[in-house]
Amino acid sequence: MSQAQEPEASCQCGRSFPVRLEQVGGIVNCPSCGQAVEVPGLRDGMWTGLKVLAAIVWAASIAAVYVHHGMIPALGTAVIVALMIGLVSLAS
Amino acid sequence: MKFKLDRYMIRRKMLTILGASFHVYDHEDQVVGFTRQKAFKLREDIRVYTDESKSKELLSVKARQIVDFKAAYDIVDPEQNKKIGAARRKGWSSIFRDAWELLDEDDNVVAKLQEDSAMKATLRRFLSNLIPQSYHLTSSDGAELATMRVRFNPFIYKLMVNVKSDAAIDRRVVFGMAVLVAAIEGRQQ
Repeated sequence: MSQAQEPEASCQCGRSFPVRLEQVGGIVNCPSCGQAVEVPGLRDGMWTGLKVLAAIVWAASIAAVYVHHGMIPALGTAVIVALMIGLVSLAS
Repeated sequence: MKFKLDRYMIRRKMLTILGASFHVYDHEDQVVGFTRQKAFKLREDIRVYTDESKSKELLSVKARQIVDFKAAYDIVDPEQNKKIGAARRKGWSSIFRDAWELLDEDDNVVAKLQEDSAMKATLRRFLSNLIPQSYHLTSSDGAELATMRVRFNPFIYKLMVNVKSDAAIDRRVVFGMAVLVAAIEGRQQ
């Protein structure tokens, strides 16, 4: 599901139908057969935020240890942190 | 079997290793439901069974999000495989006073559940959690539909649910809401 596309759910009866954004990750009833259908995906901004925060803390801690021991310059810290945030954003 | 009780008690089972278990008792103290809340599960998925054998599922409550700060939980009747409603936690206002919205199958708000009073809620949070929690479920027009009261007991969590006999609300949705209150809010104790 891309961000530009309207979220959709597909029922076992063969019907695909649009759902509201806030229903992503939840359950809706199929308008054709009335059966409960899971809406794929996850819309959880806070969870993504927590993951990014965890990545920043993790990367900054590792970088700080390396900087402290003079193994990499301060610039390396910024590169590692940026890389980790990028990775987490991609994974989300 | 359709859940249609007006009075029941949800009791947390003691000494459950990892996670939590709850029994549901009717007004004659007979077990009518059992649920096991798994630990370390990212997204809450609560299944309520008729008893500990878990042979028959009564209700299923599943979170749409991982973080339950402002999460919505869909309530499904597994026998009919139909969503019968949902419950949505009001994140910011719940910091000071627990507040939930009860939604119908199309996510329209049909009722609100709120902790009894702002003062008691503040005292519970910042002074002592020994003051038992109490909730009122009211319809959109302000009519009281049900009450949920935690019985004073520092060791065992017991939630008493009392639905008004003339309340025009699906008992299964109220039951799902009560299970959520016991599982989510009861965790704070």
